Parts: sequence; C-alpha cells; structure tokens
Amino acid sequence: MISFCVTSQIALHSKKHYLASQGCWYRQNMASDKQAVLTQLRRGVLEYCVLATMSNGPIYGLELATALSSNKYLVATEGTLYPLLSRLRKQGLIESTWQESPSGPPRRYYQLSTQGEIALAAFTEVWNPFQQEVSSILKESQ
Amino acid sequence: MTSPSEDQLHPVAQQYLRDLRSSLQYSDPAEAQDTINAVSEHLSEALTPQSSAQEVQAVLDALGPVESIVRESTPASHPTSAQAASTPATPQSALIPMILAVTALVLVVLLPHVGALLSLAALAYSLVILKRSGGSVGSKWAVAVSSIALILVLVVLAGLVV
Repeated sequence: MISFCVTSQIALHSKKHYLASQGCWYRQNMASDKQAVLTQLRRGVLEYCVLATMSNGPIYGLELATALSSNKYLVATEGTLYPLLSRLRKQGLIESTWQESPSGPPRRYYQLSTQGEIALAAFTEVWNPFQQEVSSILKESQ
Repeated sequence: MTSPSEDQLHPVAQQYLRDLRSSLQYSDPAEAQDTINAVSEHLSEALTPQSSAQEVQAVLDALGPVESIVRESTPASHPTSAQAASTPATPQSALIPMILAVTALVLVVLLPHVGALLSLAALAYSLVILKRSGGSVGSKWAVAVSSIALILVLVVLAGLVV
C-alpha cells in the first residue's frame, strides 16, 4: 500500500513536471512566433507611420522617436528608427535640413518630400480596406 | 573619429557610440555613418552634461541594444575599402620583386637597359604590395631590396655612360 502511494506520487509529480515543461515550451514558442509576426508587420508598416508622423511638419530625431516609441507594437526600440530614416532619405521619400535649436546645437529636421507625400497617400488609400479585410477574415476564423 | 558634441557626452554614452560604430562596420557605409550621426544627435538632445548615470542608462535602454540597430541596417554590398586594404599579401608575392631586383643586378652589366627596366618594375611592384598589405614585413623588405637594386643599377649605368 505504501509502495503504491509512493509510486503514484512519483507518477503524479512526473506528470506535473511534464505538463509544466510543455507549458513552458508552448509559452516560449508562442512568444517567438509573436516576435516573428511583429517583425514582419513592422517591416511593411513602420516606414509609412514614420512618413505619417512627418505629415504634420518637420520633426527632429528625438521628437520622432519619442512620438513613435509610445506604440510598443510598432517600434521595438528607438534606435531602430535611425537606419530606417537613412533609407527613406536615400529613397527620396524624406529630406533633412539643419535648423537652429532654442537649446543646444543645431537640430537635423526631417520632412516629407513630394515623393514621400505620394507614397503616404497611396498607403493611406489601401490601408483601411486592407486592415478591414484582415480583421474580417480573423473574425470569421474565431 | 568623434565629433566635438560626442566628446561632451557621458562616458557610457560615448562607449555606446563606439560599440555602434564598430558593430556597423559590415553595414552599408553611407547608411552606417548616417545612423551613427543620428544616434549621436539623439544622445546630445536627450542628455545634458549634468545627466545622472541613471538618466543616461534610461536613454540608452530606450534606444535599445546596439545589435537591434545593426539588425535593421542594410548590409554592405561589397567589402569596404578599409577591408580591401587590410587584405594581406602572401609571402610569395613579396618574393617576386626581390627576385626581379636581383635579376636586374645580374643583368645590368650584360644588358644595362633591361636591368634598369627590371629594377624599376621591381620597385613599382613592391610598392603595390606594400600598399595592399598595409605594411607587412615581407613587403617592406621587398621595397628595400628593390630600392637598393635600383640605386646600384643607376650607379652602374652612370659609370657606363661616363
């Protein structure tokens, strides 16, 4: 009787341990999947969000980073915006100018170019129907 | 190289910029320089010389690890000129101008003009190797031997003319 109890306790413990480890594995995989999805989505969307933030007028680096970094799904870390800004400038979608700062050294301001305005308008036009279609499909799948 | 405003940054922020500069060495050079300048401007704006260590760390945490910036950067399409310049010359390639120089010395008595041309070629070739290797010992020796050979050949030629 005692040996049966001990054996069943061990079996129960092993089962708990197995389920716990499976749960841990599932949570880890889920987290890495979410990261992968976010990375893919950011690649297609973030540059237009940067352009949209500039549509209100010229903006300097720290100001842009502060404005966008409050959106945790959109911007992983502020530093990742700067290679993107360089590419957008190279593509001719934004321009930069130096302006005096009321405090400290001159600031580099980024602003939309005409090409950037056209690209943003095109994105805005397709984004709403696109996200509605995605939401609708996801709703149906639940 | 650091800008004057970089020098005024907190040492931890300066180290962050150095790490970024070093980690971006295999990224597109123009984009890398742009990114370093922009991050430097970000730090200069966000921090003051009086910023505490905690404030500096908070700004760096918000910027994120250097690796995350590198991941978002465009890789360099081909090796940079600095990498190409550091390509070492093989020891055998340094031997070629030395053999040319010695041959020039041997030939200068029999065929003075050929000897002179050979010694000039040896010096030119060894200078190219020196530039490519970034100053390896072999290439320095090749330059020295070729130079001595050229001087001797010129002395012999001058003696023949007189």
